[in-house]
Amino acid sequence: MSRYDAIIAGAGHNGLVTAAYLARAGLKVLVLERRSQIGGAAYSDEREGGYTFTSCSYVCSLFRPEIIRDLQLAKHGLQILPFEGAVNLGNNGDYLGTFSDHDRTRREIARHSPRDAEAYDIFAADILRQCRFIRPMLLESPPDPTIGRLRDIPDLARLGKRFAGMGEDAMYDTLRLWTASVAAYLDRYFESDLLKGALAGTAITGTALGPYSPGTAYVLLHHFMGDVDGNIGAWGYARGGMGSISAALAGAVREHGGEIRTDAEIVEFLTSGDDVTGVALASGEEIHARSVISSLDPKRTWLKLMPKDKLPQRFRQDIEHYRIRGSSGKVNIALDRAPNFEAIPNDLPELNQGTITISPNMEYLEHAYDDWKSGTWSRKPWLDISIPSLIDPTVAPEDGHMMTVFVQYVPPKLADGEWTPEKRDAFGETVLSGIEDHAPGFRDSIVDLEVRTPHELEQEVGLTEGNIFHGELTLDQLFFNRPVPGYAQYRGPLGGLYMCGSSTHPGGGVMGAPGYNAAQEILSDLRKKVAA
Amino acid sequence: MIEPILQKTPFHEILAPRNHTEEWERWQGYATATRFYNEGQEYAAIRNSVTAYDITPMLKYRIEGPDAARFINRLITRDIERCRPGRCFYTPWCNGAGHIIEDGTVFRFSENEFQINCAEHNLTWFLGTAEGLDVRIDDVTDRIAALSLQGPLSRDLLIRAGITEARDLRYFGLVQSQLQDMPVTVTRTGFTGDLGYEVWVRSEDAVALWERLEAAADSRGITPIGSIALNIARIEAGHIQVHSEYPDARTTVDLSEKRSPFELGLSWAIDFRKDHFNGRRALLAQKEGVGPRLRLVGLELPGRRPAVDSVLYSGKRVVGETTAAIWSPLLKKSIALALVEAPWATHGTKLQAEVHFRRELRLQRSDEVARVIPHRFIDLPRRQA
Amino acid sequence: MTNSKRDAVVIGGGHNGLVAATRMARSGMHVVVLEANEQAGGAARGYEIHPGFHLPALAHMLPAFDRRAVRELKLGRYGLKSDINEATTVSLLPDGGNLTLHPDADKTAAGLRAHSASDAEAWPAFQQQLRAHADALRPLLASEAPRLDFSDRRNLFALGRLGWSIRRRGRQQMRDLLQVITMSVADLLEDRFETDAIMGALALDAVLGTDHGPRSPHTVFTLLHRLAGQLAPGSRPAPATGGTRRQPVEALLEAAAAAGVEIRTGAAVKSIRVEAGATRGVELADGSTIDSPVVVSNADPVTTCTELVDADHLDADFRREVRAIRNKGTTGKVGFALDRLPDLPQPASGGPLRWVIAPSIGYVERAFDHVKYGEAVPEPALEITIPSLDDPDRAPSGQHVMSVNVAYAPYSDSFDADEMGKTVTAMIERHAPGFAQTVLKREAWGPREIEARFGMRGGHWHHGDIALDQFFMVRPVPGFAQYRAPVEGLYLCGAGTHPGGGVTGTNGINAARAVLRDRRNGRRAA
Repeated sequence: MSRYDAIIAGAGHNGLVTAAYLARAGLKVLVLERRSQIGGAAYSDEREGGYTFTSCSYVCSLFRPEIIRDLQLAKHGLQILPFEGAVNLGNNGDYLGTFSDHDRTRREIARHSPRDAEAYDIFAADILRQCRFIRPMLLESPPDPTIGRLRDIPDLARLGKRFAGMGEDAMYDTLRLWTASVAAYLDRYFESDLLKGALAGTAITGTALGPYSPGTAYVLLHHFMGDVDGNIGAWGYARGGMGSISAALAGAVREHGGEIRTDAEIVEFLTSGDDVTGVALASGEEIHARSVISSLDPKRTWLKLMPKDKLPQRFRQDIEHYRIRGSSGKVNIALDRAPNFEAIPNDLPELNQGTITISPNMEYLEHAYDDWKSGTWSRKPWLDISIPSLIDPTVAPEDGHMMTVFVQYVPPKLADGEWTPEKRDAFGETVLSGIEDHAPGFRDSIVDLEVRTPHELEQEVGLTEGNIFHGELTLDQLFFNRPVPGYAQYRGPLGGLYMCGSSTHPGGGVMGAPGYNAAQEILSDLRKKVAA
Repeated sequence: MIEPILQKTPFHEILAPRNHTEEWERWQGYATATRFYNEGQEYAAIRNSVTAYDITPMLKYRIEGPDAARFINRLITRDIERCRPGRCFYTPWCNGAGHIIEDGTVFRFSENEFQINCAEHNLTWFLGTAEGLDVRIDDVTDRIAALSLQGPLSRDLLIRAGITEARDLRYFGLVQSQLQDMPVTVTRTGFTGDLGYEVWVRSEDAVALWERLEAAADSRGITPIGSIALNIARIEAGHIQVHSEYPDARTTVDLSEKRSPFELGLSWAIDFRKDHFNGRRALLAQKEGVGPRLRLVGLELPGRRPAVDSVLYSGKRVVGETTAAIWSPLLKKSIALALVEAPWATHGTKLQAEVHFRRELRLQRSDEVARVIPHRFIDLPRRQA
Repeated sequence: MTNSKRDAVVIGGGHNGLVAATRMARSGMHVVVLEANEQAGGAARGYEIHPGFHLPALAHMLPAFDRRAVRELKLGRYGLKSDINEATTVSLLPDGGNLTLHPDADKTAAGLRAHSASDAEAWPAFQQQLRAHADALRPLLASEAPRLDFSDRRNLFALGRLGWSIRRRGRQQMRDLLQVITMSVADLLEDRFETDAIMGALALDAVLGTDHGPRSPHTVFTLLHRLAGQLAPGSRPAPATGGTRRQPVEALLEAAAAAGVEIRTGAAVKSIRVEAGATRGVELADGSTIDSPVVVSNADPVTTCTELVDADHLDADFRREVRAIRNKGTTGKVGFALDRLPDLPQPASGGPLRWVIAPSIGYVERAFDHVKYGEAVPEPALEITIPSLDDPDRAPSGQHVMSVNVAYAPYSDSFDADEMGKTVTAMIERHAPGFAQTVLKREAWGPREIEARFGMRGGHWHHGDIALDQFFMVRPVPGFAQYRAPVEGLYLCGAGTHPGGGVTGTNGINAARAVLRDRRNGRRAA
């Protein structure tokens, strides 16, 4: 039996971020991972023939640069490759591209609507203003106005001051941005279906809501929140696939003396009184630590691994009610040549390098959501296609290409029962034919294929219901309500157990912020203990 | 062929071979020359002979229809009825909160035909303002090429080229003329504070226009100038510019940076006698309120170094910053445009300016005494004569 | 052309217009109300669907009237009280059975027991909790929204007061409210119940009259919005009939007359006259004018600011905001004159009754899935009242009138309202066999018909959808939530302002207060 300062449950990117920060602060840290490889959803799967599938998450911009810098991830091999632009494909062979160059984007939008080209600059300024307000909050524990605790008062006051500092008009805009549907919000600016479709896509990613659902607009912030090398709103691929983020983080953990054990499934959190004191593994081994940090989603953490009688009834009920609906699928495809999307002009090859979405208009997306509501995958899904091998030579053999397709919506359970391999393949077929419609001949170039529904995401990665964000990003589950009211500051009702996964503020996406914030809270508790 | 990121104006084929530095910069998606050879000589030409600056990238909107004047009066802060057909004028326009969106020139060709020239896209704003009116608003930027001819010899050049109307064209006057088969509009406008004209032709006539002008020029020729020389002249003249002295109120990320015309010294350009216009209510409240927080002023500083991006202090208190600064070749002193808190904006006030510069490779800082003076640094009689 | 002068002109004689007019008149102002129809009362008034048969026009459920309006207008003298009897709801189920929701939670629970023991157990606490949340929201709904201009400290204090009004109800209560208010009503209910019937009935209450389905987030807010209006402390909601109780409109008309308000019917306003940024009065359709430094418009904000006021007088960005108000109606209305009382279950109840057809959340959501694309709904959800049950004067003896709200009906040119009428008839027939034969007259309106009939742009009951992004400080548009339009002397008092629609008079009383405050402060020399 060995004694650690901290055990981190789960070697997903957030768990690794927390582990790295704790190890860097001198703690004796152990990361336990159920699977035989680390990374959770940020994982690259090396396949036969020199292809690397980036299994779940696929693009990167939200990952906090502060973390890359603090943990010296570049030294551990992480490199983010910015990509040029994005393109949205319509039903009628038309396309709308956006570029890193402002003038090109302007001209391209003006091709569809001169009014929208002008409105886009206003929209971008409005969104950027809101991003500036929100960005500092990402790497801070959310202050909770409902507790009335001393530590929250200065934080709340600072937040209020920053809010007021935006100016009256911006404050009204904040109220609307956080409550409107993405459709209503975009209708205020734009008339072009392709532009609205392109922007709305980001708002429904990973969400069991449609573009007409109130509360979806704020996710537009994500589109502009991230940056690559200080280029606000730029997106990029992690060289070598998203697994390289995890590998770099693991490197940082080990550099600071942390241990990472794979094939180490936790079956129970050990408690003594109201404190968590360690973990029990499937092997029967028990490991004790001064604190245990769970990067798993709250249903797993609190309902599966925690002895039932330990939780306050209200907390338990809130966790039971925590909404964590799977709504996304993923198809990874190895190709022997680059696909040819008919709508994309040959003289704009850079448009293939970014994300290629199929999102003709708002109604298309809402219909796709209607299918999810009635328990089937979208017959006409929102597809977000990227081909990282066009700029990253390490993920596919020469001439070959790796395509990764994110699909919205796919239900965790079907109306006619559980997922089966046959139904999974039928879903894959829907996606492939959706791509084939836009890139004739694409099917003939497929050499390897992997289809993942929420069922696979749950079985393999351990995401409850296959929800990629560890829980819906709706207002009732954000900020001081994430994951549940009263427990937004990375602590649960039991001593010694912390949460650091995407189910904590500020939520999902490969951002690393929850892991960072949790580490700060743990270190601050330790300092208090030392001082006491 | 991959579409070039920077578009080329119809004058590009003329100007490119003359650009010895090959230095180009962006202006509304177009390539515009930064300098052709030496900005000092280009500037000297503005004040001594005749220069040409390609202003084609400016946004140009054609406004026509029975309600055209009514539309323009809804839009701008001045009264269009004070601009007769055959005249132009300068005016700002504001949003509903009384913050300036842009300033530009309005040409009045006839009772119901106008052109508005500005630096930013405004079509949506114009169309929204025109709601319910019988007026046509077209973006004609790509259809009209324009050349700004500035300098004491600009009038002679136009006359020699055959535009004899230039002889009697008054300041802010407009004339529609014909150069053989080429329709030409000439306005006595400019951004340099000097005698100058702007010549407007169909895009397809741009090259021909240049050739005629060049053929008519005297032995000194026409000096094409780039944006650096122009900027020196415009600062001397005290002209404000969007994204320098103020941001476009519609796309300002930090709302506190929005500026009112009162702050920019444009109170003369707000006509409360006319009926409602965008921002009237808010501007009236500003006028009746405590007065603007900031004011645009001119600064003169000792020494040769322009006070670019300088913070201005009164004692230890930060009271403003410079928005544009140059060494004025005409005044032979360092001058700057600055936004300063109102109590420190009276002429004669002395402020401390933090001036940064490199001496060879070393970054240096000197604190200079900056004296507040009127921001129209020069007033050349020939500009209006 | 005639010309006359008043201290204030009120455009539209709906209940909010009447409240505003009476309030101003009671402070000594010389006020005229101009009503385009032949009868004042707006959406709250009744109409004759068939000779001798009178129906409430739109609002067939009346929420509690604003208590300040009752007090300041002395409406009690005219028979209007702010407390009313809470309705009993009978949910008609597809199998022919039904489930009754009583005002008394224990009685509801008793009926629920047949469906689910756990639901029966959960219900009383749940109902109490909902009411507590609605109570907490009430101060927010009644007050004028502060502006977010903190250079004026009063705005900060007002905001603080509102925050405290919620916080003082206790930490847990506040935490619960902040958690649930943005949820979908479906999520709230499905976490707690398993009986479709009770969930469907509540889901309908949450979405009726709005552009939301029960699975739309924030529909707990719309449910609480409705409850807060209906359940003033110690009071209960009731159908607009009210037996011995007076129709609010009748009481308001008498109170207005007593206060010296002049009411002109058949007086359609063509435009609001503005000069140099200030209101000068109105011009009527007949060409006559009335001079007045104050105009209070009970019309919806889009009509007021894009039709009645010429675009010459308004800033382009303000007009753009007004045009962006989401005001497409989603609710249909079917009125019936009936030969006899339909055979609907009538549980014993002290108060009025209503019937709903909303057997499950999924049923209501499927209906919404049609209207969101502008399509007609094959199987809509219904809210049915028989106003003549409580007020026999509404129909000849032994005969009845029935009023049905239909969720949903699209705002669309191609929508056939009469077809909706047939659908509704057939649906009721299924629960009350023989019903179709008793129909003497049927009149069905979609949002287009409601738009035309009541002059409300978009045909939306609330003059603008009830949703968090169109609520409080941003209703009708940001920066203008204080009942004042950006023209000196022009005020808004209709449902398009905070807190939205419902026959409460809150908008009217708040608008009148704004007028009076401005007069006191000399903002406008009258």
